[in-house]
Amino acid sequence: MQTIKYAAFSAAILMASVAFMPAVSAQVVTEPENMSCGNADASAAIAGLESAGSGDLAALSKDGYIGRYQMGEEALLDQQLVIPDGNKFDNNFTWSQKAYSLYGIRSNADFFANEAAQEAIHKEYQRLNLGYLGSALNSVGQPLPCGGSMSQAALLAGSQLGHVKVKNYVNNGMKCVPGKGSPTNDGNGTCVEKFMCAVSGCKAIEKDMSKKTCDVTMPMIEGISCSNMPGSLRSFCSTYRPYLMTRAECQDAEEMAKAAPKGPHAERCENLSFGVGSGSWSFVLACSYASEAPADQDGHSEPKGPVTDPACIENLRGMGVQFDVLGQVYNGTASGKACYIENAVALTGTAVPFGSRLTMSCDMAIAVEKFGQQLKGMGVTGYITPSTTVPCRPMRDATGDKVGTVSEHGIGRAMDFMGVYVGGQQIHSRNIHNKGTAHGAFMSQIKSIACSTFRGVLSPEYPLYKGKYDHFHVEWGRGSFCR
Amino acid sequence: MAGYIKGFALALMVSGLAAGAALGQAEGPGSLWTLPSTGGDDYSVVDDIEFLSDIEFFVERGWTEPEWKTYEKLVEDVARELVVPDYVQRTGRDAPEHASIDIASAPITSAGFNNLLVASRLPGDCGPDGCLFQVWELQGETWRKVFEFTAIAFAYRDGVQEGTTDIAAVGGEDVPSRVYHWNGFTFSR
Repeated sequence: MQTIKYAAFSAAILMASVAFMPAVSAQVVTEPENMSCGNADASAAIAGLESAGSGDLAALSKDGYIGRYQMGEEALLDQQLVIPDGNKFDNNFTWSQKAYSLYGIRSNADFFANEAAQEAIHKEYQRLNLGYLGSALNSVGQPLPCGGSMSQAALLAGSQLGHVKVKNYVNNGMKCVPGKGSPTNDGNGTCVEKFMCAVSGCKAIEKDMSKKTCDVTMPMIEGISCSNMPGSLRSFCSTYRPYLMTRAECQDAEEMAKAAPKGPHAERCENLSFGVGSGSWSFVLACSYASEAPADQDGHSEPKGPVTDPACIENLRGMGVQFDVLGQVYNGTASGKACYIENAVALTGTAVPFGSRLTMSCDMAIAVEKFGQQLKGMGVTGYITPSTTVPCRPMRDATGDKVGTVSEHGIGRAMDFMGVYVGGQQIHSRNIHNKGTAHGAFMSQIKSIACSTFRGVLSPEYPLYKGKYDHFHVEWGRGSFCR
Repeated sequence: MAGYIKGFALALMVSGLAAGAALGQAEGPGSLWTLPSTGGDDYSVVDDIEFLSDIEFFVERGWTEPEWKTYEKLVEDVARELVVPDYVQRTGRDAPEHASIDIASAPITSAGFNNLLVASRLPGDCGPDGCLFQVWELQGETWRKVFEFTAIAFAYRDGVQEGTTDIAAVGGEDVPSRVYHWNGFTFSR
């Protein structure tokens, strides 16, 4: 939260100094040569086109493409995130150990629930594509039929359908080849040009990497006169110049910031600072890690959807939990019923960490945190395979889908986990069957705590789980039960 | 303004690095933390089985589901003043450290005044047949418990005769639903 505030703060200061910017012309980088188009990069364009532009993290196409960027098996194989199964186009994903160790992903549900992972995976997909594009990069600057010109961002956007199709498009004189599955089109007949044009309207702004914010800010600082100070402080000010940065300190700070590894938004932030700003690496560093969510004056990110229970949000905030407020989140439909996660929050810091960023309703989040605080008191340090929200689907019982119902997992009011970690030791929930053992007693205690915290609890002792499942399902739904 | 400037660059750097750590795969509580492998188990939340209550059956037939509240100050007051003392008395156990209850209001025993409804998840109050629901009535200046039962969910509706009310102890799956009738003087099944 603090980061957002600082980023906004620094941006305001740096933008204010634009008027003092010296005219320097060396090392100018033009916009088409980087991966971003203004502040709308290729990723944003793709998210705006895929899944009807919903940006839905849990989007699942009929052909099996998944997530906000509709990743397919071939693309995930390229990053060794899934295991080869002999058919890289059927989109049957068997997630690899690398996916788990890098992003905590073991299932599609994990992928759907992990925004940070989806962003990182797509960034890497683009980085790889940049290498594959080869001579197609020579088309940068050429006019596109839809207006605007080809940019690196546009080429990357087109690579959503495969870099080979982008090369074909360029080699075909920047023209689509009609037909489904043609050299430039996907199986639906969509040409790479559609994705390219989504980012072709960017202005060819220039960013000047030779700008140095110290050249702008230091004259302002050095120009501050101690004569404006009250008499008692004037002498002190003149002698020690308190709170004022020296030119050397400014340059040291900038060198450190320039050398430091940047966050996921580095390029966009460079555009801001070295385009219209005064060229501050300190700004770029902070901005590159900052959340994209706009912040209020307290540094809290603003929700994307309406919040109907602000008291719950405040309550959660008072518990010391780290989270982003998402507001009402649409999560698809099932059996003709829409799934909305009311007062949704994305949890990042909880008493017992999840290992990924999990989204759920606020009231469920409070119950989860109360549960976690009690578990932490028992020495629990993590959940085994926690899962919360999945795309909208009907409830299931032993006979299958229950038509006309909606799963609590689809509306962010349920969590499953398969046991806990105590220190480095796994205690699997199946131990609840081992009555009379230490682990059995421990799991029974966890069940007891769950039943006095959540509205509904299904343990591995639930008759319909026996012989099939060994996990805990806890929920904040309309029913009260402890099984 | 000038006073901020010296600390500005360093503050930005510190905040930027801190944010980087928070957003990265750092180990420890309060951060994204990659858990070690759990070993083979093919369970997927996508196939999860859930418990289906019959509450929707009642709601579709005109019964009312109370609007339960959990995280309001009043809930804490009700727990402390009424529910926990009642729990100690009826179970003989110590007062629990965490009293998780829901409360709602609805006119059950008097058309003109709301009763206090409680859904209790205090230790031992929830089991395979559901959790404990209580109906409290204000008598003079004192709240008194007038009815309680165990169920998966709670619903109510006006009775056929004026001044009467029906309460549904809603079940689900292998737990049968029951209906209790308030005739103006007493509850009967």
